[in-house]
Amino acid sequence: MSDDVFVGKLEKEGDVAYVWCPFCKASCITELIEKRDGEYLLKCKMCENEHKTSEPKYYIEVK
Amino acid sequence: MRYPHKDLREFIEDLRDEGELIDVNTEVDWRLEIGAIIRRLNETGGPAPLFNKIKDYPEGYRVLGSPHGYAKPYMHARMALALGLSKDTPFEKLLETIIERLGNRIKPVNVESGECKENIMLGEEADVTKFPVPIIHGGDGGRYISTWASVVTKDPDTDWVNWGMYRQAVPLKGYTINYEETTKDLPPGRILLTLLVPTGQGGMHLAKYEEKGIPMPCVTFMGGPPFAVLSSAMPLPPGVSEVEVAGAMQEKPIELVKCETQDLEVPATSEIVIEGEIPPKDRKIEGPFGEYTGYRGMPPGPRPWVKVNCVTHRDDPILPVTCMGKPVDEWCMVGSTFGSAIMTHYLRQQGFPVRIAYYPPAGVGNHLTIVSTKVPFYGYTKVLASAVWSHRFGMVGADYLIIVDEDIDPTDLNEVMWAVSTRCYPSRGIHVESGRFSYNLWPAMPPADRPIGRGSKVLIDATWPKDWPEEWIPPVMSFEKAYPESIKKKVMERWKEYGFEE
Repeated sequence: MSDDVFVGKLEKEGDVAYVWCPFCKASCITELIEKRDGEYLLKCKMCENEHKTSEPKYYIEVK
Repeated sequence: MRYPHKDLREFIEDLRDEGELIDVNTEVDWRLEIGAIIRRLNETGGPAPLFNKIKDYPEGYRVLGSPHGYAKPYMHARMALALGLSKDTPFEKLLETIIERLGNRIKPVNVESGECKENIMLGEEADVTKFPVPIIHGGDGGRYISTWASVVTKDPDTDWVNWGMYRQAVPLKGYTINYEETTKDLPPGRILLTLLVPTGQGGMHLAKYEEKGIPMPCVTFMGGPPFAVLSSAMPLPPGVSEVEVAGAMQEKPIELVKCETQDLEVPATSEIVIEGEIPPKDRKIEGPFGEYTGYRGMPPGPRPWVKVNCVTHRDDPILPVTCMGKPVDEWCMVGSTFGSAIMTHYLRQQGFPVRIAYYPPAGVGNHLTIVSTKVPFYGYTKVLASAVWSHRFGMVGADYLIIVDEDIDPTDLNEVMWAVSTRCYPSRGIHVESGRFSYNLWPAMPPADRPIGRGSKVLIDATWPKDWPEEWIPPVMSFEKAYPESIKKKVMERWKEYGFEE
């Protein structure tokens, strides 16, 4: 087993990562629209819905 | 009919003449709209669409969808037409034609030049975004350029050249994870993110180059004679030349030209050729992508990438695209047609008295295998199962193996389910094998087992037990079996008189 691999990180506007989408109920390619006061405004590239979270649930690929 | 087809364009003409292609002259968007149209046609058995007008792209830059997809009413119509047969050819005849041609491989011929050299973009001019590469599914991690294409690689130690079908993506801002990092040294038009799994033949080549610490030459071509790409998708064993099999299938040699920058060759009439090399042990994030299993495939992860250094293409190039997804898509049709032929041929060569081995499209082309056979001795079905799972295509697929008696038509799933329901006694006929290798795109495989492909298989033996006396086996109650010939003849002769249609 090697290290886990994070598939993306949401740090600045426009970043994309593979995170949980509450609408698709699946991990999806998701864009960071805005980060303000510790809250992330995210947009899913699958369903195009926007959702907010204070802690994005990143997908971790176990190698 | 224009068979043997010189190029994709002659095949398109035949599809159009046979009602298997529609010209879409309405402007369509490469962002998801093309993908959605192809997907719906796949699910309804519609014709192949040729998109002639694509948003943001000049006239003449076209996309062909679903070149060999599921057709109604003749499911394998576009496969039959590629083989030069009529589109209503019965499946078992199609299979026997392929098996016969498989035995007569034809070497390619080299030519000085070809249509694929009509336009050449070298070095910094090379740009794959010049083509209308679609975002195929919602949630894909980029623009997927290689979905119906062949990736050419060569073993560094021998003359073995492999043509394989591996997905390749062009990075797209807002869709590709780590886009800024991915494109920091090269523009997106010079990067192909590539899924090369270690068990695939392209992946085997890459492992050797990486061991030597040198880049692997890698060329992708689209178009050309239909079998140039079809042979790349066939489950042929390592070392078998796809280009020779392609020649066999079209009964004429494939014409090859040298690449501009790599010591590899491609069909002279290819629509698009992308030349480059894969840097050793360097990875960029690729994926995800909607896959042939009918689900989004494995999540994004670090995968090999091609540094593009040359692109050549025909005037008015056509990019062929398949929209993988819930059956039936191109791969299901390839597995169903050529996987069935290759497995049937192999089992017969091994001396098994099989009628045919069949991979139904609903089994996504490789996960479900049905073998119809004589049962010559006690214990035979387990021996046969071992043979199926020993073949490369059985190793990566055939996770569900159903064996039926010779009187059952394996292409008729109603008959197969009838046989399973009435001849397979669960405690005797169902055998589960664990710890077998399976393909890691299989959604049922537990995620923790996917990195090493730790799978399992099941044999469903739906044949009558060989150790039963004949009197234990009940007679079949069907029109064919339950009536005397004189009555059947009378009924058929008077059928319309009774008031029934044919």
